[in-house]
Amino acid sequence: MWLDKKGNVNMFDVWAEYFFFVLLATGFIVSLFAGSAIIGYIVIFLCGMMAGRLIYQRQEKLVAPYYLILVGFLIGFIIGSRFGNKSVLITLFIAGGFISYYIHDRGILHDVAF
Amino acid sequence: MGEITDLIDKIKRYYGFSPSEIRGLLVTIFVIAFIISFKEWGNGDEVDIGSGIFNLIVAILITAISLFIHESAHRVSSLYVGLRAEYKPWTFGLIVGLIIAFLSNGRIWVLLPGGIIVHHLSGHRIGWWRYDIAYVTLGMLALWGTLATLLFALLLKVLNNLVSSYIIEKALLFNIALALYTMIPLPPMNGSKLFYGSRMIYVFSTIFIVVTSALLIIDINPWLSVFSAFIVSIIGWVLYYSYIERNIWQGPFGGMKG
Repeated sequence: MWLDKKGNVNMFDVWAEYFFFVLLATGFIVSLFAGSAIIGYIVIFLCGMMAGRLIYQRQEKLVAPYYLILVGFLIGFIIGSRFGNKSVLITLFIAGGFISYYIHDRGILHDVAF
Repeated sequence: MGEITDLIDKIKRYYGFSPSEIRGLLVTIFVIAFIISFKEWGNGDEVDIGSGIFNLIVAILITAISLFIHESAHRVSSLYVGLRAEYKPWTFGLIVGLIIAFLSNGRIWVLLPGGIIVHHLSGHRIGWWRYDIAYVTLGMLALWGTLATLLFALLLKVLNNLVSSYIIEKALLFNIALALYTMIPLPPMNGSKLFYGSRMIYVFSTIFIVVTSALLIIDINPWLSVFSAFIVSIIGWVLYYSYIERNIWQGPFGGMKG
């Protein structure tokens, strides 16, 4: 079902998987630039905050593919991180996501879909 | 004269910032100040808290004044045409700026503060053509913010030539960077509104802002910079029309009518 009549991959049907790999590569590259464990922790926390915002905006809509994409980014980041503990990275990513979701949910930070 | 009196009255009534706007501006000012003062927390690996806090406060002042000028230009120009601009921060852009600052150790500034949304002042809009908010109007209002930032940079350059100071230089660099970043055609930045409003004006103003910014960084006469940028913009504008716009423009309704 992912292939059209000519046997080519239909990108509109597999966009989530496609972006999973794109974000995996992005996460890998971003983590390579982190020069120390602290920088890596801060960056993954901020990325978690962006993920929380994304999930907040997509609530009650199509959420599952976004989780897949975010997991792709996290995996890429962990593979590329040279410093720091992997468990801490995962924890900070999730914590950032929860905090960002809470901030948006409580209306502390308004964001307009321009 | 009547228009001026009307504008002064509208400024008195509608200029004030709402609490949510002030909160958004404070978050934006702090984040951007942190980004531009990131590499000023000591030499090398040594962290100097005292000088770091001092530099952060200086950066907060620079950012606050610059954003105030930027947003005031949006606000006053909007009120002039019977609309009210409201500043909205862009969380995504601010976080991206922070991430890039951490990864580049403060060497790269990514300044994506946010944009404006425009409210229609029904009574004050009477007599304006068109009565509703048009894309081109929105684009021009957005452009006024960037032009005010550029004008402020120009004044800082003149001031820096008279009284050379590190703070003025930093403010100059910040305003140039802000003017350039706000012209990116990425929602909600000013550039996106102008791009969708009028591509011809977008091209002209972007070339003007880029060339003026480049010439302001180089140590030449500021007024000569503006004049040269104006000439280059006209040339770029004509070239853009001749080679691109003339071929892609499909008429006033995008080729869908008539």
